[in-house]
Amino acid sequence: MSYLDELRGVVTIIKWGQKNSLWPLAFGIACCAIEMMQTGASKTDAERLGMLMQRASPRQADVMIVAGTVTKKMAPVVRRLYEQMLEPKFVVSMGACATSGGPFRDLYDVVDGVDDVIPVDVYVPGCPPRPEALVYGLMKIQELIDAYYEENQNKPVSGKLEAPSVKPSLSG
Amino acid sequence: MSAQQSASTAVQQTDPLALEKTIASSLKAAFPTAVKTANVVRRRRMRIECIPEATLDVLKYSKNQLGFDHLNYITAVDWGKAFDLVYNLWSIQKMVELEVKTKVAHGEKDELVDFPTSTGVYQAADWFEREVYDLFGIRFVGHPDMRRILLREDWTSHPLRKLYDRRGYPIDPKLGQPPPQTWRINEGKLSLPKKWLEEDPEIEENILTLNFGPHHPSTHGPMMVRARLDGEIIIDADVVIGYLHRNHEKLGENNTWIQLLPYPDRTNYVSPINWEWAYVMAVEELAGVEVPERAEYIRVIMAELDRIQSHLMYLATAGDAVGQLTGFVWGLRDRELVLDLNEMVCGARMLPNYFRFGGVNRDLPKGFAERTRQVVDTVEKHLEEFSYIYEKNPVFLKRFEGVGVLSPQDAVEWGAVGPGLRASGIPFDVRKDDPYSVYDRFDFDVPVGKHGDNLDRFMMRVEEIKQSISIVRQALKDLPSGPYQGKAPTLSIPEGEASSRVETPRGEGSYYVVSNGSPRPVRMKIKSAAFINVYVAKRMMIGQKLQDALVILGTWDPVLGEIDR
Repeated sequence: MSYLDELRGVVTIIKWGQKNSLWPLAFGIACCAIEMMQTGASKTDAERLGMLMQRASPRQADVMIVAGTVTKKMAPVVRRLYEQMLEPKFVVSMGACATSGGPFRDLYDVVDGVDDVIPVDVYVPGCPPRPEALVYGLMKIQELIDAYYEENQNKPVSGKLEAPSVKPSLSG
Repeated sequence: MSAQQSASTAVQQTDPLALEKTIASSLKAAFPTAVKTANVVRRRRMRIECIPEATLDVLKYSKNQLGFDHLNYITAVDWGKAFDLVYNLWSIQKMVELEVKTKVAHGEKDELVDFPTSTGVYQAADWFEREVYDLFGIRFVGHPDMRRILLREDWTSHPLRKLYDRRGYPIDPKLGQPPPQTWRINEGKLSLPKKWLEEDPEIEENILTLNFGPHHPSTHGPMMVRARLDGEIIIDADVVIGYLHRNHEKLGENNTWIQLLPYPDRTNYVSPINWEWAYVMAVEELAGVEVPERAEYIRVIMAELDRIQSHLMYLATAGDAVGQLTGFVWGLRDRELVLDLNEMVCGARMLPNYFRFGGVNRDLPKGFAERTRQVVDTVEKHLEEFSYIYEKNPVFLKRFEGVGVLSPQDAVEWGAVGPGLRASGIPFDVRKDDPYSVYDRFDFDVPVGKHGDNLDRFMMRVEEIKQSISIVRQALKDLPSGPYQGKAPTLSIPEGEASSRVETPRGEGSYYVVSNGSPRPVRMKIKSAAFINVYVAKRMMIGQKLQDALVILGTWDPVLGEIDR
């Protein structure tokens, strides 16, 4: 019997809490960061949906929103921040640059998509995406949190929960 | 303006180019053999070519005898066999621009070329020379701290040389090195400034080096500050930039002129329209395009609205820097109003891509004028509200009043531009001093500060919003009818070079473009205002308390997209 089974009631509360109070890492890199700020500001006000309580420290965050172009200088930093976040963690790639390099694809200092560096759960298209699009992306993360707990509910006790896998050739 | 036109106007009445001609001839007279050509390009702009050995003397003479006190930028153009090294100087008293060009030969391979440093003449040359070293491989001998500035330090190549393709690979593999391909956690470690390494170990014991960034909520983007602390006082600081180096300049060489139109938006994503204007203006000068009057007025309206929203963003982040989150939310709320206008005009909220060569993308929509008047009225009313949480708030004043004072001499010497320079008491605004478009038809003031402290730099933004509102109202009143798009070339741009000057919200921004007649530019240099302002902020941090350093940095309103390009 899984330890999660014994704690089923607690897990339900954790799931409910995590799903409805996403704490993203305030991680603005480029243009998309301005739209991310605008998402949290008065007009869209994503916080009323319990999803944009931005944290400055990766240790407190559940979701990383990669908002902008990742360069080769920035990529090791992104990677380190990702590894500092606690499980379960999710990544939103916001905008064309973080998704594929976007308008800066195939340039000498630009990484063609942040999924070369860290695993991504939700891609939000746009250059930059409108605040509504980011809110939709975060709602998709809420669905993923549901799925995550359902998937792990009946797993045997084996230490820590499994981390998402990363491309082996690029891992640090 | 072509040479013929300027010559014919010169014959009529009093010579409008008299000052420029005097300066050019005095340079030629002072250096008869070293200065090869001295031309007047247009009003307020001269270009001279000199031999490499005499470049420093020419710079010294220009600064000390001719009053060119402001270094705009240093850049290079790779012509395959040799570089054109370009120094762009500006005189704040005379309001003229001087471009000093010199040829520096380089080999076929990617090898370093030595050239004497000009940091002894202009202190602002510090970061510009590091940038040229980083991207072109010209090593400035005698520079105090010759390190890479934009790229990771494990790069071995200089990717803006023509022997590299856009992905940074050498076109002929024998001649250059490929770029780094991995991004493991410990890769690209930063080296320390030379000065820190040479320090006495005894001093070392009492000093704490504190890093903040590149991921930090107060640095306005991925930027890193390394502060050397003696107790609470910063005794030296090193600012690491380049985390958002998106290769705009290499991109410029690999796309056609018209394909490049969306990119200035992304150069500075907080004030996109002013940067579009800078690019479009440079190409228009190169191609000799006439812009219809209505288009000029539309451009002024959009650019001033853009300035309003950019400064509102500053009001928001200024609150954020001192924990005043009400201001943050209020600033972003008002900014939304202007973004809605952008959406009304061109369909995009933030990065509009609205300007075209010779005009704008489309005409103003129905109801735009009324809506704009409402928006500027609202913003004006809200500025009054802002004053209660900012400049009339004693808690806020404690952090801003008298902190981070920049003297006018230092401001000029270190190369500051924009509201920060004006806060120190120097009334330099491109819209007044080198008027472009139809700015000479509007009645507006250039606000100037008295003390040069944080509060003055803050108040510059507030005053500029009020001036912009006034300009928008005047332009809406006088808006002429007519076409919104003139005749413009699509693919081929004539051979030559041109540079534009635009007063962006962060200071003077300019594009320096070189064409050889092909559909793609040979070189597209972006002169960033925020780049040099961050250098000034770095110098200002020294001697300040740690908690003030980020506030000082914030008052320069850095936007990393523009700093790193």
